Amino acid sequence: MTTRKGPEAPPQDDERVPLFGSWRAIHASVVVCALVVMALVALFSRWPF
Amino acid sequence: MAVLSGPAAGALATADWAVLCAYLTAIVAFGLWVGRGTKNVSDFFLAGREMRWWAAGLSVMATQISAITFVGTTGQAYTKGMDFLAFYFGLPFAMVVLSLTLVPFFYRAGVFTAYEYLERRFDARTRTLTSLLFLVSRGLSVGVTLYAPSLVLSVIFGWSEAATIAVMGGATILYVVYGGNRSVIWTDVAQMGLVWFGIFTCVTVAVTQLPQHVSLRDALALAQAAGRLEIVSLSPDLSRPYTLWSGLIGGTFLAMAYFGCDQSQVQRYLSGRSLTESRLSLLFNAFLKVPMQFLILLTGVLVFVFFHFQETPLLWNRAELARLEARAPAAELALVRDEAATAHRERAAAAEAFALARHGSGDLAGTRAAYVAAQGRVEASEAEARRFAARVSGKAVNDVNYIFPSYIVSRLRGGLAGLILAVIFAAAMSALAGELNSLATASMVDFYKRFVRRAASPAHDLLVSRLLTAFWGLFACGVALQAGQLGSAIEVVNRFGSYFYGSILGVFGLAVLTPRAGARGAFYGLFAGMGVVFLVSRLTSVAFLWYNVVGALTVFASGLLITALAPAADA
Repeated sequence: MTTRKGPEAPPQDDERVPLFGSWRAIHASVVVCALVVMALVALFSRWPF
Repeated sequence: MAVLSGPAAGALATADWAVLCAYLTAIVAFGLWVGRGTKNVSDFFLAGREMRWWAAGLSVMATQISAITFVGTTGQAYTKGMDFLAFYFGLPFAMVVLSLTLVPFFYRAGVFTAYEYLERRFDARTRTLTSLLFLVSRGLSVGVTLYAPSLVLSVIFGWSEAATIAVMGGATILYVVYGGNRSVIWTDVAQMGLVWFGIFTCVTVAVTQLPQHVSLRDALALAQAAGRLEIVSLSPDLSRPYTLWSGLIGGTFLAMAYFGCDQSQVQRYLSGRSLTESRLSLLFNAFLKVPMQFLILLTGVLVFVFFHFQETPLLWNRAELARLEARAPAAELALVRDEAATAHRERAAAAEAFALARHGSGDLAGTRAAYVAAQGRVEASEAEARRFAARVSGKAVNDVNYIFPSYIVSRLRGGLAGLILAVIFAAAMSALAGELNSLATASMVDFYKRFVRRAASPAHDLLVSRLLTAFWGLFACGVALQAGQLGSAIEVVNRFGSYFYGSILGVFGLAVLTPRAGARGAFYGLFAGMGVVFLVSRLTSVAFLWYNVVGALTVFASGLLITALAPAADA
C-alpha cells in the first residue's frame, strides 16, 4: 500500500540572482525577450527587402 | 556573362583533414584531462555538483543540439524555408515554468535522476516505469543520433558507415567512460564554443560567397520571393507541423517534457553548484536558443541563394547519384539532367534580372514574377529527379541532409571545410556524450542500486557506472550499425518518444502542482495518457507537437480522477 504524500512546500532560493537582481526580474526578462524575438522574426519574414 | 559557375570540387584538402584530426585529438585529450579527478558516483554522474551556470547551460544546449539538427535544419531551410523556427517558440516560456517548478524540487531533493523524485512523491513502480520508458526510448534513439550523421559524413568522407560510427562513437565513449559528467560538461563547453564559432563562420562565408552583383538584401529578397522566409504562420490548422500556435503551445509542452523530465537534460543542470546556478543554466538557454536556430536556418537560406548561381548536382547524395548513373537508362537520365540544367539556368538568369531590377534597371514586378515562375520550374525538376531516382532504386530518395555538407566540402577552402565538419562532429559527440552519461545514471541509480546491489563500496559503484557507460556506448554503436537495415523502424523509434513525452510531463505535473494526486492516479494516468496519444496519432492528422499537450493534460486529468475514485488505495 502506498501513502499519499503531497508535494513538499515549494523550495525557496535565497541566493542573489546575478545581473538581474531577482528571480521575478529575470523571468520577466526571459518572457519579454522571447516576445521581442518573435516580433523581430515576424518583422524579418515580412520586411520588404 | 556566365550565368552559372563551374561544378564543385569534391574531396577534402590536407588542411581540412589536419583541422578535423586536430579537433578529434584535442577533444578526447581535453575530456580525459578534465575527468581525471573523478573518484565516486557523485563525481561521475553529477560532476561533484560544482558546475557554474554558464558551463551547465552550455552543456544543456550541447546535449540538445545534435549533428542532424545542424545539417538537417540547414537542409530544411534550403528546401522548405525557415518555418521550422516556430518549433522553438515555446522553449523560453518552458524554461521559466521549469525554473519555478521542477528544478527547485529536484535540486533540493538531492536526487541523481528525475525519476527518483517520483518514488519520494508517489511510489517505486511509478519511478521504475518512467525510468524504464526513458531507458528504452533514449537507448534506441541514441543509436539513431549516431547513425544519422554517420550516414551523411560517410558519403562526404568516402568512408564506410562503420568507420564513421567507430570514430565518432569510439572517441566519445573514451572520455565519457573515464571522466563521466565532468568530462561531458567541460567538453560540451568547448564543443559549444566551436559550434557558435562555426555558426557565425557559416553565415559570414555564405554572405561573402554570393556573386558580387548580389547583395545580402538582394539574396534575402530572392529567398522571400521563393517563400523561404515565411516563419510565423497564423494558420489554425492542427495538422500543419509548424505554426505560431503549435510552436507556442505544443512547443512549450515539448520543451517542458524534454528539459524537465528527460534525464539527459535533468542531469546537466543538477550538476550546478547551487539551485541558483541550476536555474540560471536553463534560463541562459531561454535567451539564446531561438537566435541560435535562426542563424542556422538563415545559413541554409543563404546557401539556397548561393546555389542559384552555381551548378548543382542532380542529387546531393553522391553515393545515390553514382548508383543512379550506373543503373538508369542513359537516354532517360539525359532527359532528366537536361530539364534540371535548363531550369537552373533559367532561374539564375531570372534571379540576376530581378536583382538588377531592384537596383533600378528593369521592371521590378515583372522580373519578380519571372523569378518565382523559374523557381517553380526548378522545384518541379528537382522533384522529378527524385521520383526518377526512386523509380530506378526502388526506394524513396531524400537527400535534404546532404545539402549543407556538400556545400561545405565543395565550396570552403583553406581548412574551413575541416573546421565546419569538426563543428558537425562536435554537435554529434556532445549530444551522444550527455545521452550516454544519463543512460548509465538511470541504469545504475534506478535499477542496479535498487535491484542488484544496494550496498557496495564507492570503488565498486564507480566501476559499475563506467561499465554501464561503456555498455550503452557499444549498444549505441550496435544500433547505429544495424540502423541501415532497420528501414522504417528508425521512424518508429523517432516517433516512439513523442507518444509518452507529454504523458511523463503529466506525471511530474501531478507530483509538483497538486497535493491531491496519489500514486495509483499517477501510475495508471500515465498509461491513459500514452493510450490517448496513440489513438490521436492513429485516428487524426494532428501534428506531433500537439501530442505533448494531449498526453500531459490527459495524465493530469485522469490522474486526479483515478485518485478521487480510488482514494483508499492512496490513503
